Amino acid sequence: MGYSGVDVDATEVDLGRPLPMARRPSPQTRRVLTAFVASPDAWRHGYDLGSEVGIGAGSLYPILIRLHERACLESRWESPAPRGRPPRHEYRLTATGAALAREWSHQESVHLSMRPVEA
Amino acid sequence: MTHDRETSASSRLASLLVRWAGRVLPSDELSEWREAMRAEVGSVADGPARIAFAMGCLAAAVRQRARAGSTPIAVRVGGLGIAAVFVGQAVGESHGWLNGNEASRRFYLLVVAVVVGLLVTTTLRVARRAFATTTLTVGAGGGLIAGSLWAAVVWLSPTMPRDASGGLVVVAMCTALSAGLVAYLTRVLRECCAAALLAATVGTALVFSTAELFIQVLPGRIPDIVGPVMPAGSTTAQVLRENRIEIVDGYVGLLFVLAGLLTGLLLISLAGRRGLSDHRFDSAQPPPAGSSSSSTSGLSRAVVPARHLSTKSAR
Repeated sequence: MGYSGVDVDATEVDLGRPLPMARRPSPQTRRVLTAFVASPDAWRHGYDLGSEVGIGAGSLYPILIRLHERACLESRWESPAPRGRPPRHEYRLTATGAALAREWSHQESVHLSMRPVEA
Repeated sequence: MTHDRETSASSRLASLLVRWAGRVLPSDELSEWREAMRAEVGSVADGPARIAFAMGCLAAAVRQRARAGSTPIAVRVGGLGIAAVFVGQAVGESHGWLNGNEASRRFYLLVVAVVVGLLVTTTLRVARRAFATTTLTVGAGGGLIAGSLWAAVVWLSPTMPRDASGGLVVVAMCTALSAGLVAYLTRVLRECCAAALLAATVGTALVFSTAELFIQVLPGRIPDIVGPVMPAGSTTAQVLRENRIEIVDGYVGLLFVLAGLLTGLLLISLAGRRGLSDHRFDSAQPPPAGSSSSSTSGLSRAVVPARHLSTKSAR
């Protein structure tokens, strides 16, 4: 089962259309995406990102992989390569990811506005 | 000195864990992530934090492995299972061949052999992640529902239908539903076609197998087709024998339908092969620093509309 409840690889999805989102993302995914949206132009590292949003590698990497598969994130290798250790993987939000974040944010606001007001 | 020893031990443990994670990760499509995890662990400050991060990487790798591995296994088990049933039924049918015509028996076995060959080839091809899991689940599910509905109808009827037309109607309905559902979920024509073909294939195969099962195991449920034209004085056994010969004619056409469906499924799986490993990075060496990708697949880069990529480069 995929992260959206629909296991569709980005490789097969016409990304010119809205991605199928059968259900709202998990709170952890929202936190990750929110962190990317907060600085959309910045390239982020996995460990730093996980520390910032309070998610361990065990949850962070599946989220990053799925967002990446759906072309919501783009990645590159650290440049210039540091001396003494391999280059790190860096991630940044794509236009698709930004659109998806906006869609989720909109859905969230609609969902909240439809909740009955408790007396 | 003691601190150095502890640091060295924790570093080695973290390296070991992330190396395991690399081995557990599905080999082809996630090789980039293997290197990413290894490099990230190397950048974390030595000590408990590094070990914890490496353990997380291992857990993530296990999750990815489970996600990637279950579908191909299910496809292989399902497809090869149907092929095995076909072989068993063909052997049974051939063994008790009542037609007396050796040429037609050979032709029947040849058609079954072609269908089984196509079934095995297509199964192995589809199992190599040719389609999305959603497509496979919905397609196979639609076919299973069609086959089950037909088996229930046959079981509840006093005699089995004379031909497969009713079964094909049920299969067509479930095929349309499967295709519609996949179209709604994926919005991809290729996936939609694959789901339709898969549902039709599984449904048709089950309709044929159900008929063969009834013909071979429950001959008493075979309808009386030849009774009115049998010579007077024919014994019940003779009538049953002739009915058993005739009933096969109403279902044998399903084998040709099945061959066509399997050919279509095979072609569509070959035509749109996603090439998950086309753009993989070398597993031993990270790619050149600064190289970037928007997905693990080379093909995915091609399907990402230019406006998405150009937006990033314009920043």
